[in-house]
Amino acid sequence: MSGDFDDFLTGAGIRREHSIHDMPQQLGVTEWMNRSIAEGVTTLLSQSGLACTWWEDAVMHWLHGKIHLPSSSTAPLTPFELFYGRKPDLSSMRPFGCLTYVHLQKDQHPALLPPTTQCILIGYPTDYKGWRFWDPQTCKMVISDSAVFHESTFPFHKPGLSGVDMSVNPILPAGAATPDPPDPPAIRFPTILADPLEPPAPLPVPAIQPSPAPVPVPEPMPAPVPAPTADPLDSGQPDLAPQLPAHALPLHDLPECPRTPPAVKQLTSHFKHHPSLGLPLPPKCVSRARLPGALAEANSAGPTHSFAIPLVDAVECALNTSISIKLKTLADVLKRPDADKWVAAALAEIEAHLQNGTWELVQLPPGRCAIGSRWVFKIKRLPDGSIDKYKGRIMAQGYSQVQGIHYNEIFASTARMATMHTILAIAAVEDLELESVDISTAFLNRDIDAEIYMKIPEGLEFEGDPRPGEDPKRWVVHLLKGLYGIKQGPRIWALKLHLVLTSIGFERIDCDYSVYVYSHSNDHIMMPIHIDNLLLALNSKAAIQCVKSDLMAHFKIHDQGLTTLILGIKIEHDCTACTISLSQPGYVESILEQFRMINCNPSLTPMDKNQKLSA
Amino acid sequence: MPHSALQHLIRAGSIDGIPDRVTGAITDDFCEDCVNRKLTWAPHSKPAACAEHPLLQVFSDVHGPIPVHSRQGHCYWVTFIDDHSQFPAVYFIARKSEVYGAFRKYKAWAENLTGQQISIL
Repeated sequence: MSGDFDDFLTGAGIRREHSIHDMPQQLGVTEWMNRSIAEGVTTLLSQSGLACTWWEDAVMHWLHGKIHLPSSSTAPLTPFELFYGRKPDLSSMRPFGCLTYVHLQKDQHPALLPPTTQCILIGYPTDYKGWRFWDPQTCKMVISDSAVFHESTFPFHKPGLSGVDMSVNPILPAGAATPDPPDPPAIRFPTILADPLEPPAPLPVPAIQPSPAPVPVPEPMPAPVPAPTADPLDSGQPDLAPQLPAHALPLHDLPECPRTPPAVKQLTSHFKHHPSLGLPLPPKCVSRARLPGALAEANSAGPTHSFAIPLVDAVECALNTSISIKLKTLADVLKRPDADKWVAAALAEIEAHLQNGTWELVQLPPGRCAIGSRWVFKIKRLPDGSIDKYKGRIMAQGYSQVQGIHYNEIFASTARMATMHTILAIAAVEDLELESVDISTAFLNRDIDAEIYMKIPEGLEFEGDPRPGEDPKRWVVHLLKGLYGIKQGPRIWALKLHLVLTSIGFERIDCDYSVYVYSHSNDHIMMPIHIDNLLLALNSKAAIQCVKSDLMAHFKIHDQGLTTLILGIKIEHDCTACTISLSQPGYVESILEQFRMINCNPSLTPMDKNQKLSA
Repeated sequence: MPHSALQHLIRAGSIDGIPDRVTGAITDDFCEDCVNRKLTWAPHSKPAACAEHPLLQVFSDVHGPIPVHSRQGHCYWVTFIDDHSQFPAVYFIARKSEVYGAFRKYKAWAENLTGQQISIL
């Protein structure tokens, strides 16, 4: 410390006792006090909801209470009494940051208006009788001795949020915009009259004057969000796909088109290929630049709108927004040897939607909002962890759907795990065959039960000539079928599946709505359903072919044959021993990989051997 | 095996066969290696008895820096605690060099109030 300080102490005859460097234990009293203060401040700020910059006021407020409470070494006397030599008076103590109605002087309030202002209590001034308040409307400090306290209301406290609210940053005297305290619950709160103005115990701690210039605390400004950069790959690239004849319709014909375009839209996908990416597209994809026959004919038949929607490289999709679960960045995608497989997966997804008629292209009607959409890329793995197939999916961002407008009911049942186990056990005992059927793009099968508009998915772009005065950005897709991510998607799929299954002779059992049974003479089939995974436990080969052909008439099914994997659980069927073994090696490996334990040593008893288990 | 453990075993008669020249070397004398390795912190003494009157002894410490400056621009506080009453007084400062000024203020205020002189800081 400075030499001045030492000289001063020597001159005043004060002996100095230092603590040893890095030995805070020798300073137990003050270290403990500092910790108590810090904890007290955190509590007060949390309770009042004030910003961290108010910590100094909170310290003073907390100390005011501290000196009036006996400490362990002074009990039953309080520090205040030991120091001042008289009993403390606690009548002026109020909660920090509570709502207060402060009486204004006659010259400080307009006539005919109530002579009060709403403030929060922030402390006890040392040099005045009364309290110190802060008026959030004027951002000014008020000292007054006439106030009514609402001690359980903390205007800055955000209900449901714990902790200190960093967003409230009332800097004085900058007059920063500060949220007004919420309107008080009328004037009906229990009136707590201020005590007859007892002099509040003066704090012993005057603030050091002159205080240094306040260091302005930067207002927490939201970082400017970088505007989405235009896709550099998408401009000026010649389309490889042929232009459609309808594309050349004279512009003046367009305004005469019906306001609502016909149901069948021409959605043409142009697959652009950018040589710079070095990714040869599968030739099959390029050749499929036009829609299947029916749609193309409908297009050429009448003077309908013609829209061309080029499909940008799926890699570009990944570049823009699509985040693969496995692939973190575009660089990863491009460096990977399997990049072409992702492209193919995305193209297959688009094809499925176009064939299925999942959407139609419309102008967004006034008053409606379009929900967002995005791509999700995922690797589907086999039970042993090896790659099965690459999947690309267009997902609707269903979280922005509003109940009552976009959906009502969303419940859909799935088979309980206990049900699965039971059926597997029965299958083991009775030596049933287990087969799996997976229904491709299940959610796209059922007409949707609400009017939902979705922004055009990434990679599909509107390329037609808009009518004059129309905003091309208002083109959206109107969902006709369910889509992944839609909230009611599972439900409308389950209803559809129920209809189909009952029509081909299945019955739903009452104890688990996801299990269907089929009984015909000697053929019995039990079928638990997990969304679009159908597990069939059956005793006759003939029946299964019958069922599969029935299903195939309604859905596009993916027959997986004998079950080896259901819901990520590997199934081993030992017919001779009449056993079915379940295991999850792929799942275990993924956990090990996640926690970087993939190279750990196996342990026979994966728990502490010395653990004493007792009731 | 640690020096002291071997010694203990020989004394208790638990082991045998240690050559005399080894046992002879084992004495109760000061073992520097043991001290080097085994010295630990001394236990902290119990707090001394409280001072008899206010300001006989005052504890002080500086806390901070607080990562957020207060509205008044301070980021440290310095605590003065009177040992007799455990009465805490806190001054807010922006720089550690202001501790001196804070102490002068505390001294003036406290001595005026109690009529006692600060003896030990």
